Amino acid sequence: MSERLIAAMNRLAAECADEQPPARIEAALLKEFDRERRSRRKSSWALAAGAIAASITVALIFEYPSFTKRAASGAPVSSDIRESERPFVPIPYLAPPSPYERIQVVRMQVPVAALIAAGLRMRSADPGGRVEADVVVGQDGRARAVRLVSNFN
Amino acid sequence: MAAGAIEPTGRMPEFERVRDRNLLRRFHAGDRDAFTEIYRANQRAVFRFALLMTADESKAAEVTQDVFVWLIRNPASFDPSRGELGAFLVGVARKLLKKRFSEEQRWVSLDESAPYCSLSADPGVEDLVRLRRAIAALPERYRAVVVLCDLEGKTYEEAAATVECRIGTVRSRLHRARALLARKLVGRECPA
Repeated sequence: MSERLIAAMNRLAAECADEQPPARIEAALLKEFDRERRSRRKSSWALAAGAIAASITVALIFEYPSFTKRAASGAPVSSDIRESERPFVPIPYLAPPSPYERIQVVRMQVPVAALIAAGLRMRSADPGGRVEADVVVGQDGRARAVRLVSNFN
Repeated sequence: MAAGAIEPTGRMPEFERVRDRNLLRRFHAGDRDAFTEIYRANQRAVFRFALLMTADESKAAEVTQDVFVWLIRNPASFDPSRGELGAFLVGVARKLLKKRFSEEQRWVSLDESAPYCSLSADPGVEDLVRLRRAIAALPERYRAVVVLCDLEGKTYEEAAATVECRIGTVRSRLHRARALLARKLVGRECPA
């Protein structure tokens, strides 16, 4: 490479050695950093809330497979079904429906194992079997109470 | 480094790597001071690279800002096991510049049409302006290696890592870039 070009390159490199961006950039970047951190916090809260909701849904699907199918189709018990003499039994550890909450009663085949898993005491039941029951479903789509219709097999 | 412009920086000492890793960990955790330290440690290198690539201070400042905004939005994009943060950020600057150049390609500066003339033996301010202009007019792939190797003092290996090509490619591009610069700036009579 030419001597003159080398000399000019050296001079340019030396001149540029002290170059730095304007100070306003640091301030702008710190603002951007704060904004990004705030939005990350918000999204992580939303993510956590979503994860909790999803885990509740998954638990419901696993515990009441037939219930979710029926509830999703929105097929309430028809009025011609004769009311059972038996009372509804609230599902343990769930808040009962509030006084003005709209509920639905859905008749379905519920796995005995799901009832046991929900905390209901089942006398002389086959855990592998199914039982016909009316299920009270709250506005949030969760089962609140159960009333057995058929006897155990 | 064939041009002998400035000495190569060599590899980063181990303690600096550890310090960088700690800073990054704190930055990932949302530590504002860690980000400030990262910015202050790397801003000059990024700005200088952008300035030499564009020969335009305001564009260089914009690109520098864009690089660090990108880092803020993609904090996990840098893997410390694959190199140094400084080199990585210069690589990001290069990619952003490339994008800019391709967008600006349809606009040709009137300056480009001005004739080049030979550099003087003792380079003055005008020579440096001509040199900057000539470098900025090189095709991007040649310009990047000239800036990195001849002006920033990076080794071929470091330049290869930044521009993501082989060392042999850096050598050949550098050779070609110097030839192009010499053709523009050596042995030409300046117009009266």
